[in-house]
Amino acid sequence: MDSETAFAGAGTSGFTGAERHSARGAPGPVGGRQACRAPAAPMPELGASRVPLPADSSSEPRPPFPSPEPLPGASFPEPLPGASFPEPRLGASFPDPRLGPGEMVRAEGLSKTFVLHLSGPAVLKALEDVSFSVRAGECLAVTGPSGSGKSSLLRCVYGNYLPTSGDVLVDDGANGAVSVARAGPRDILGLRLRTLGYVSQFLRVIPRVSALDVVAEPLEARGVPRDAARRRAAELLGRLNIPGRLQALPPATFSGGERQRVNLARCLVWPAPVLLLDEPTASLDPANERVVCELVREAKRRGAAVIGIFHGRDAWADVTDATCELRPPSCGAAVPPSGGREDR
Amino acid sequence: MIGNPVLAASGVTCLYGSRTGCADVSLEVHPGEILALAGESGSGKTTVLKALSGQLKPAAGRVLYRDAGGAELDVHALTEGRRRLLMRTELGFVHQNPRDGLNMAVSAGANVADRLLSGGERGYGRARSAALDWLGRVEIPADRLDDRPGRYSGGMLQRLQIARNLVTAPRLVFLDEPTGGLDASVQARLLDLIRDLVATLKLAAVLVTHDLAVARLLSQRLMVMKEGMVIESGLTDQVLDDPQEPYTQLLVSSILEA
Repeated sequence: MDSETAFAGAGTSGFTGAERHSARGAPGPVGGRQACRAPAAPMPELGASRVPLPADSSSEPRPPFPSPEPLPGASFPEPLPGASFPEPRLGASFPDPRLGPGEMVRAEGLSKTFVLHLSGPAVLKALEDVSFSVRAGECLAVTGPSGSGKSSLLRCVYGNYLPTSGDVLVDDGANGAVSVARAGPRDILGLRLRTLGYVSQFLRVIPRVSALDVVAEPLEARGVPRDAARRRAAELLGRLNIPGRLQALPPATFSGGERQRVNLARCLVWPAPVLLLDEPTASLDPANERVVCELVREAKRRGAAVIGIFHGRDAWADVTDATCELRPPSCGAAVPPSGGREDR
Repeated sequence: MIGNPVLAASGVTCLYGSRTGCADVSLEVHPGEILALAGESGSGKTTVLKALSGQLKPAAGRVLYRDAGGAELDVHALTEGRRRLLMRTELGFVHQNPRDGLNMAVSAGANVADRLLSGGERGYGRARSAALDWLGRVEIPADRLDDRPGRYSGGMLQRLQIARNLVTAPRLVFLDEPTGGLDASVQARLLDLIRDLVATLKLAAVLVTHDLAVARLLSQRLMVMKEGMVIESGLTDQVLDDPQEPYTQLLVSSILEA
C-alpha cells in the first residue's frame, strides 16, 4: 500500500489494517468493540455495520409506509439557528426492511453476561433473551425487581454495554437501522449524536463548568451557536425550577434532586428521536416530577420513542403505553465489573 | 460517519534495542475527536505517541497523515525539514513537562509568537497580537506577556505550552499526560480548557494518560495498552463501564473514588 492509495476509498477502507491488533483467541461478544477480540475476522468496513438495504429490495413488496399524520397537539420546537437536527420524524424516514413501519427501537433476544476476571472468573447474567419493540411516539416502561437488569438493558441500547448475544436495532433516520451490537465505536457515536438521548441515574459532573453550560453543551455539539444554546438551556432549566443564580454555578455542589434535573435537562434540551430514561425522577419532588412527565409527553408528541425505568411511580402511569417486564436471570443478580458503581 | 481520518497508523512496532516499545499498533484519528491511549507507566503509550508524531521511527509499520491540502504524507518518509515545518504549523505536541515544549530563555509572548513566525507569519505586530489573544484564551493575564516562563506556576506553564501549540491552528495535537503533575484544582481547570478548545476548534487529538478519569472526560475513544500491545479498544465509556479484558477490569477497579 503506497501513500498515494492509502487514503483512497470511502472513509477508512484505505487502511485495511487500521485498529486491528493482537487478535486474541477468546470468543468475544458480538462485534461491537473493535477487532481486538475477534479472532482473525476481517474488519468490517466503516459503515458496514449499518444494516444494508438488500440490493433487490425494490422487487420485494414492502409493507406500505403510512405518511405520518400530525398528532393532536403536536408542537415541534422552534428551529434553532445553525442547528443540524434531523427532521422531526414519526417513524423511519427511510424505512428499513428490518424495522416495521414507525418502529424506532427493536431488541431481539438480548442477553448480557458479565465475566469478572478478577473474581474467579465469576460469570454473572444481567439480561437473558429480552425482546421488545418501541414505535415513534410510544413510551415503553421497563419493569422488574432490583437486579433484573433494567439499567443494563438501557445501557445495551445506548451502546454503553456490549450485548453478549442478541441485538438492538435503532432507526437512525437517513442512515437506516443501526445494529447497536455490531456497530463500531464511531457509528455508535454518530447514532448518539443524531438519535439517542440518555439520562443516567446520576450526573457525572465536569469540574468548573456551570450548570447552564453543562445543559447547553449537547446543543453546541449539534451545531447550535453558543448564545442560542445557552438561551434554550436557561429556558429549560427554568421550567425544571433551577433558578438563574444556580444555573451559573457548577452542579458539583447541587443537591441530588437539582443534579438530576440538570441531568434531565441535558438529555431533553435537544429533540432526540429516542429517549432512554433511567429512573429520571427518582429523587424529585412531586411538582418537579410532573414537569418532567410533561416534558416527556411533549417529546412523545413530536414523535420520540421513549424507553424508561419508572419503578411504578404513579406520575408515569399515563405517560406509559406498554410495559416490558424483566425477571432476574437464572443465576442471580448482576454486578457490573466496575464493582456496581452507578455514580457516574 | 462522514469524514476521513486525519491520522492513520498501521502495524506500528518500535524497538529499543532488543526491547519492544510497542508492537503492532494500528489506529485512526478523525477530525474533531480525541483518542486516548491509557495504561500504566511503561506500557508503551508515549512510544506510540512519539512514533505517531514522527519523533521515533518505527521498526515496522507506517504512519500516514493527511495534511490541510488533502495530501497523504507518510510521516516517517518526510524530510526532517518538512517534518519540522509540519510540527510548527499543522501539528502540535503538548509535553507532560512544559519546559520540554517551551523556550525558557524568551518571554511568554515570544514563546507563542515564535511558533507563528517560524511557521511562516511575516508580520511581527500580527504575531504579537495573536500571542496576546491566545494568552487570554488560556487565561493568562495580559500583564504577564513579557515575563519569562520561568516565573510562571506549573499550571500557567502548561497553559502557555497549550497556547504556543494552538496559535497556528493545528489540525492534530498530541497530548502527553497534559495534566500530569498538576494539583487537582489546576488539573480540573486545564481539562475544562482543553475540552473547550478541542470542541470549539474541531481539533483532532491523541491523548496519552494513565488517568482513566481524564480519558473519560476528554476522549470519545479509548485504547488500553499493556506491555506495548493494545489489549482493548472501543468507545471510552464502553471500555470503562464494560471492560472485557482482565487487565482493563483491573485498571478500572483500581480507580480511587473521591
